[in-house]
Amino acid sequence: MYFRVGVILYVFAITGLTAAKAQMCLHDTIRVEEVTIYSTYRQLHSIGTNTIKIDTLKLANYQGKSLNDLLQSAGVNIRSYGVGGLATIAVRGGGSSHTAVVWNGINLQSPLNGGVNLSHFPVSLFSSVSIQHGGNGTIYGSGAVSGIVILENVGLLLQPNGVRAGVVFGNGNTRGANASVKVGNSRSALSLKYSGLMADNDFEFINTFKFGNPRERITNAQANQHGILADAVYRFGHNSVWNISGWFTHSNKNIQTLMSSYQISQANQLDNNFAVSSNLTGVFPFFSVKLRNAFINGDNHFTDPAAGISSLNTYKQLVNEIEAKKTLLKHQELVVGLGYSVDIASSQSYTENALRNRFSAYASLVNHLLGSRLKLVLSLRDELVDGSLIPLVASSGLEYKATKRLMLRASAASSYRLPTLNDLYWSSTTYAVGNPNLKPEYGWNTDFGFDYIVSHNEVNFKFSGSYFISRLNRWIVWLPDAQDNNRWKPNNISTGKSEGFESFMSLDTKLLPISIKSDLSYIFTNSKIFESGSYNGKPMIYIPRHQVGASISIIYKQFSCGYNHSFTSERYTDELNTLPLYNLGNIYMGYSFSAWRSEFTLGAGINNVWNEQYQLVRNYAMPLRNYFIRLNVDFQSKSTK
Amino acid sequence: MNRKFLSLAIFAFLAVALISCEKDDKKPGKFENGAIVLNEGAFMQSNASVSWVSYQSDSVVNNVFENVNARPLGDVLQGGVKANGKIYLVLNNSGKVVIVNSSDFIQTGEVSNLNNPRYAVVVDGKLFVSQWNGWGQKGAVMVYNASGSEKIDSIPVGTGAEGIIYAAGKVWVANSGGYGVDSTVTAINTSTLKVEKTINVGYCPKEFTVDANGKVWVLCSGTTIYDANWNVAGHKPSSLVAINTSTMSVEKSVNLFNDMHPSHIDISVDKQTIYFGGGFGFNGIYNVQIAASSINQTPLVSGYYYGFNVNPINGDIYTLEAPSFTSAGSLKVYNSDGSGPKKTVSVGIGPNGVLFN
Repeated sequence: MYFRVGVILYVFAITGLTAAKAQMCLHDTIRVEEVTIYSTYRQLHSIGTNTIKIDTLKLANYQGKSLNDLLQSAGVNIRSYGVGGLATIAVRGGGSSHTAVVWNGINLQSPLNGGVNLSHFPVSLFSSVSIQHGGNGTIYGSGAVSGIVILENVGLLLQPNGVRAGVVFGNGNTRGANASVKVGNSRSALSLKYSGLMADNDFEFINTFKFGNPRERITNAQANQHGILADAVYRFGHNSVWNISGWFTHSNKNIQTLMSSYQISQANQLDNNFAVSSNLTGVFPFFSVKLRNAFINGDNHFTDPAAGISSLNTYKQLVNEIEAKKTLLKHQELVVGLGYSVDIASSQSYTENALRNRFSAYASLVNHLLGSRLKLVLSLRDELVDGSLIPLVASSGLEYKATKRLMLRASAASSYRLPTLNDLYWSSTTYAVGNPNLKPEYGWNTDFGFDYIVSHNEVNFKFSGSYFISRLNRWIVWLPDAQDNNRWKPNNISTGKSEGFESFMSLDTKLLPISIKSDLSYIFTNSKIFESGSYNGKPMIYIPRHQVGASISIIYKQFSCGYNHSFTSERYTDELNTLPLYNLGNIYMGYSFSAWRSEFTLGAGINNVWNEQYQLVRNYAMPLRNYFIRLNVDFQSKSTK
Repeated sequence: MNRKFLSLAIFAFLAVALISCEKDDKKPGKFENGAIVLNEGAFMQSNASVSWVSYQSDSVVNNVFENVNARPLGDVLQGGVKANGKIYLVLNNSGKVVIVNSSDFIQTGEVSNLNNPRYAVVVDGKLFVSQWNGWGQKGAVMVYNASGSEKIDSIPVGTGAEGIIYAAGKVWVANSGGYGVDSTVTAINTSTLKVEKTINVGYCPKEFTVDANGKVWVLCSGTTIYDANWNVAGHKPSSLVAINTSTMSVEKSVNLFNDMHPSHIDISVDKQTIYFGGGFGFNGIYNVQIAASSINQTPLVSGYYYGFNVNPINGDIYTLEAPSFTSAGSLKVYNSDGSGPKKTVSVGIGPNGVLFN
């Protein structure tokens, strides 16, 4: 059973030793910049994939909002249970547990249900947000099946010292504040960020579920959310750096009344999440080592007095990884890693506390060939989960710079998702029962694409396209089990198949004093589920076939304005029902000025400018047109660079 | 000549196509002479619906209400009743009763702001709706005028007011216990709107039927008891209880199962044979003669049926399968002796009951 893990380690160990001998004579020039580059090693796994990085201007415009708002504006498929409610992501089909959300290299998917609630993540806490389309289980492990959202705070040592603060007010009695401070020098730095939001969220909507389509206000949707993120980095000499990050988020959110209901909801959900991570990187003459440790704690308390429900669920995750990187020959890099993690959960829905131990081993080989015109990455991973080996997964990516402007790329990866602890440990009742015999879901995906980039003077144009195809086998679905008194029970019964293409175009121009940034994206997804009873061959729920995103930002001297638009086609909510297509448009205008050695930005905007009545999840109203104003102050000292 | 021939051919094709459409498409407006299937839908998804199934053929029209009224019906269609040319649809998690014409399904009224409504009955121009109310509260019977425009009264009853029926001049309400256990039936005077008597029956009474002798039969489902860690600690047994409507007392009790909990009951055309079974996790539909003192331990029809009803015209048993709450359910029609099915059609999500229109 342990043979495969042993083989992987052995092969890469032998390769590494051979390469070490070849490298001993190489002169090593190690600087802090290289440490920074090493810290982004995991991004090597985006080689050959369609990865979109949200530009900094859009990040700035979404300060004071949540990650789901930002991603939705970028044309990503988001399922949101009402305004400020549970929001999950689904890339290239699949369910909410098939897209990983990774922070500082740590997969944040809850071991309880496999999901990540994006509404708990204020945009202002992160300096970099990327979306990798397609899964890659070899590096991020379980859950990275359909896509990966990568959240980072990069290059803290290089960022200027300073203080930032901002406030936002809007309809729905929305009051938000964010603040950050960064201090340090070229050796050490500390950053603290805070984001808070209080809102009644009593937005107006057209109730299409009620007789006469009355205009109503959303009820019981109040939110009180706070998040704190701390980053500290310390450099040892020129060759080592230690980064410690921690965050705490608190969310007290009422669960909004369903559109179809005359009974005002009394439900509430209280979430407290705490995470701390440590990344220690050492660059030695012949190799580099990284130690990554993280501890994540999540508490969730759902109450509904109307139904007599009070459900407390908690989980803890301990993640430990060690990675070693070695440059082989001249253009090869080898990375080997070992990981050990523990998931512990307790829930009133479990008969006992759930515990899961995971050991993993992985290795990657990156080649730079043809004078670095060709990049190739190959990876393997295996994992031992509570004594059982899951299927070996592998991935490969290729990028070929065919011409100065044209990059061709391709990738293929297998991936897996472990059953959640809910799937395994749910108590046996008359109505439902967990299934300890579940196997991991197992899938693969491949894509082919290109990037065409033209940069001429102050004009930058990019056009990229990708065709993708993916399969997910042994998809875990809860259904009444006729063999077990028709109780709801999870089983590995479905197969998911998705294919489609993604295109993205951006054009940035600087015709001083005017600067224009624009982009346009289109995603076509044909996704279906097979072998799931009568649902066989039907479209996956909440996966639109067509998604379009477009945005334009214009900066003229101290003025800026922007518009972004998204179109989402009809989505199935079950076998028989659909939600209609919708268009969303948001406008933003800003004015910046300097005073007291600080940069002030005063902004205002309109959300849902076309007053679209829409739902992201059936029965949960979303706001009609609404307004906000924002003030940001940015005080920066000279750069530490 | 060729153009003329082509024109004629196109005309003929269109004519045939139109005739075919006319024949195949059941136009909204006439939903009589068929079974009305109540599709509960999935909790909180507001995908409840109504299907019309022809008595004579395999024709089915799904999503009748939304097709006619251009909006979703609501969340969790728990029950329904037909009376005086109207159909009253009880939407549990929407807290409302939707009133439609039984012929064309056009909505004519609505009762809103109910708290966990379950089932309804119409008597003497009054609409009686059973409702659980909130957690920890006793149930109630809400009384409205038949058009739903005016609230008349609210009558407190036992816990988890569930099945409701009119018989012998009274409205009978099964106090199921709701989230817990109750063992009573409440009889309400339809003139005074006062509780006449509360009668102890078996554990968790849920649904009624009336036999050939005018006796009211109540199906007491029993329930599963759990300890604090969700381990099964025991069961309250299920039973069939007959109530004498004159003496307003229990006349007969037939034990059913110690650890199985059927949810539904109906009766044959001659009202001599009671059918019971179905519901979540219960395998089979059983039958028992009203004069019998024990039941046959072999089900008349095997299988997991979320609901069933007996056609009062010919005695056919309309069974309803809900394989999941994300995909279509099915209606299977069996003969009264359990043979069949002689018809199987696809209906909406989570079908739980049938009205015969």
